[in-house]
Amino acid sequence: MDLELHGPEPTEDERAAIDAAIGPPVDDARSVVGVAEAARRRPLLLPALHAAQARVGWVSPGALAYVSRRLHVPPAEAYGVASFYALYALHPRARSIAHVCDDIGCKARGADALCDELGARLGPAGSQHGGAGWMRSPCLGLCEQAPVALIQHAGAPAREGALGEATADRIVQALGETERTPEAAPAVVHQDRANLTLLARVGLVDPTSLDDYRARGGYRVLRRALDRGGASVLHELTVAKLAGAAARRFPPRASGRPWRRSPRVRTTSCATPTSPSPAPSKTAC
Amino acid sequence: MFGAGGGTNSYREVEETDLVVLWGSNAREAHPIFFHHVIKGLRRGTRLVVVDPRRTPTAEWADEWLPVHVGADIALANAFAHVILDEHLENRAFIERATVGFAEFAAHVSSPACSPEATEAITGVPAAQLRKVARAYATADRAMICWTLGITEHHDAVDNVLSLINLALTAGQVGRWGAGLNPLRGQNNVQGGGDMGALPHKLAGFQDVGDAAVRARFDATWKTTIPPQNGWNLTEMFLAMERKELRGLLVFGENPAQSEANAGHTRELLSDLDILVVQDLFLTRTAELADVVLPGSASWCETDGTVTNSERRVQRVRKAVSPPAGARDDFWILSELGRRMGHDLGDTSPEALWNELRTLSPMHRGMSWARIEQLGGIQWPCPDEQSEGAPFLHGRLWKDPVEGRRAPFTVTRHEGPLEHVSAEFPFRLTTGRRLYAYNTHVQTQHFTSPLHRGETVDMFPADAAALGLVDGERVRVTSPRGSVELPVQLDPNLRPGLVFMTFHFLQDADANTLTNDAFDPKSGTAEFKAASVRIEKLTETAAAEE
Repeated sequence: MDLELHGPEPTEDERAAIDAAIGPPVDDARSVVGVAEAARRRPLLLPALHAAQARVGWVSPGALAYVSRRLHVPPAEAYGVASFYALYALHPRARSIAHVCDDIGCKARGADALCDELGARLGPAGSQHGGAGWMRSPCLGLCEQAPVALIQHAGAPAREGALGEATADRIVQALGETERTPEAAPAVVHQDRANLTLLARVGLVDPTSLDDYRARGGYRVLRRALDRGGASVLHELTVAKLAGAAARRFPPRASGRPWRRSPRVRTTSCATPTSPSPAPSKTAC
Repeated sequence: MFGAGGGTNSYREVEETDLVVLWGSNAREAHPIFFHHVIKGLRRGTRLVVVDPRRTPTAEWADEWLPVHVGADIALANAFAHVILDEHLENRAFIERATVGFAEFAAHVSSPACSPEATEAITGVPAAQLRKVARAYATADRAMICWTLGITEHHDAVDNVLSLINLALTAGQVGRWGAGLNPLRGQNNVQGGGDMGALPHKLAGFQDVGDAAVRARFDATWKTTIPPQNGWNLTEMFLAMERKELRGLLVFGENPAQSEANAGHTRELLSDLDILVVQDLFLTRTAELADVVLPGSASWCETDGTVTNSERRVQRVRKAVSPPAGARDDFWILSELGRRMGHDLGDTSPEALWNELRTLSPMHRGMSWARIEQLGGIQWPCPDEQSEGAPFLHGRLWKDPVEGRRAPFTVTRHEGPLEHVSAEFPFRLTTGRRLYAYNTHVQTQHFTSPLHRGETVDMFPADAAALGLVDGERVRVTSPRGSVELPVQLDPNLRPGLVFMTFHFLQDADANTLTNDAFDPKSGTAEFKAASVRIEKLTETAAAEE
């Protein structure tokens, strides 16, 4: 596409960091990037923005323009993405920063008091001194360890880690240790694993490995459905007392007529029976 | 196309086709309205191939850019056809039912000399890339070829067009929804001008001047006798001026003193006329040469009437404001000229004129102003009041048996530009447009904009470096016809040996002082796209003179 980019260029550091994330530019007078190729590059937008910010602590206009040019993402769209996520900074900020969650889970476990103490010790949220600062953050997804703070040190290499059951002392200490990756508390896993359905594999399965997932019983229900055949699955759907999203897809038939095979119905859909037995989890589908 | 003077498809089809080939067209800049339909198609999965010597902003949207050498379009099209036949991808059934002349054409392009590999050095397009694109075109469900001045501003313009038609016929990519051949029009009403008979060999509705039955109908309505010979096109008029045969000229909304190739010579001829009358909105360079200037009106806001766009759609234009004091409605001026020369043109209100056209032009017959308004414009042909017009043309070629004439293949041969690059003139100059300026800039120069960057001669960075030139440095550009001085702009989107200019900023430098006025005798269009030039560093010259 013919993006016309005006304005600042990235610094050498930013350019190097972005190139490391998405690959170096191809210097080819014959290459063009059409809509299809741009769509193939689009998934690199978040990694590219992360790389820029991890190196210098924020996504500068020069870095944003360079990412747009390299990925052929219109600058307005790249800006829209960068300004949507709270973890991206579009203005210069401290190179070492603590994102302190004050969302509902952490608030219930004392996040407000934690923020008050940080304000007294480090100055108001968003301020910085000595290259360090803190700010409030929406949910960091570590609610079981609340209150939580995510520590980021920009640089090469960048360092990042989340503190669980965080205290002001530990946050201030982690901000000062710029050469050390903050040590995260081990993930708290529910001890009563036997009764877990949705979270049964958490902490056991490598989430990036399909084989690992299958080795731990993943896709078991699908395999069973395929073994039993379409007619049997449709029979199960008919006799099961479905509820929720599944019921909207397969509404109960008062007449008792069975469900029929339809080319539009994917028999791998998640169906949640209301039987007393544990519901098959989403991950089982 | 095959007797109908218009593109075969609609804008809507561009959005829904599978493959668009833009050949010699920088539509992104020069036809932005059309290109926004292309973008809609791209967003839903249409693939785009751009054939252009420059990596234009249009090429940057392409899935494949074929970097053809200037003037090698026929060689490229023949190699394209060679691949289709070589790989047995031609549409045999269509060829046998709907075309004539295939055997001779196939014998020509199938020869090893026409293969992509053999012509790579002529075309500049890698053989593997051309094979890939030709395959995609021939196997697409629906594909269209669109072109503009990169095809027509050559001395062999008509053969260029014919060689593209050959491709569509070979692959059966014409006469269906989303499949066809489309010359893009540069203004809102270029199509309409031709449709109304503003061509030297056609009367309104693309009817031949040479056809006695057609002339008889016009004679009866106009109460006059139309000469049976073709008139002169613009190029022929200038030749007649050279012969001192043409001594008076009424120029109506044109600026030939700046838009014609070899502009210096054009201005001499215009100055030498017995009388030059210019009717225009602005005091153009041409108007400055005139004996009489008649201030006309802006047709898009100061008059009532119709325009016809690239997809053959006739649309209503409504008067929104009155012309400023002293300016007159264009048709009032023409009818008044007629009246004072002894020809009363009768009721010349726009709707009366339109209804007269409907009695004379069969393809407009069903288009009343009321229906044009009701249907949001109508695409010709619209032969009666039941017809809603035609989104695409030549569906007849798919009838069995074919309705009307079969479509002819034509053997075309590569010649290349008339003017060769040489030791004296080592660079190939091609010309074009930029998005933010319009033609000779008469209308776009009246507002300031940071995007009016002024005229430059654009060069490939390595070429400039070899001459010791830096970005922005003033240089002298000289062709066999003239010389201009202007800044150089480095452009990595060009290729070695190729330089580029527009003709927008004439106060800076007039590109048409350099361009070649050699023209295609069949179309009358000059070879604006291919001149040869040399580029000289000015500071050195200045130093040498001191």
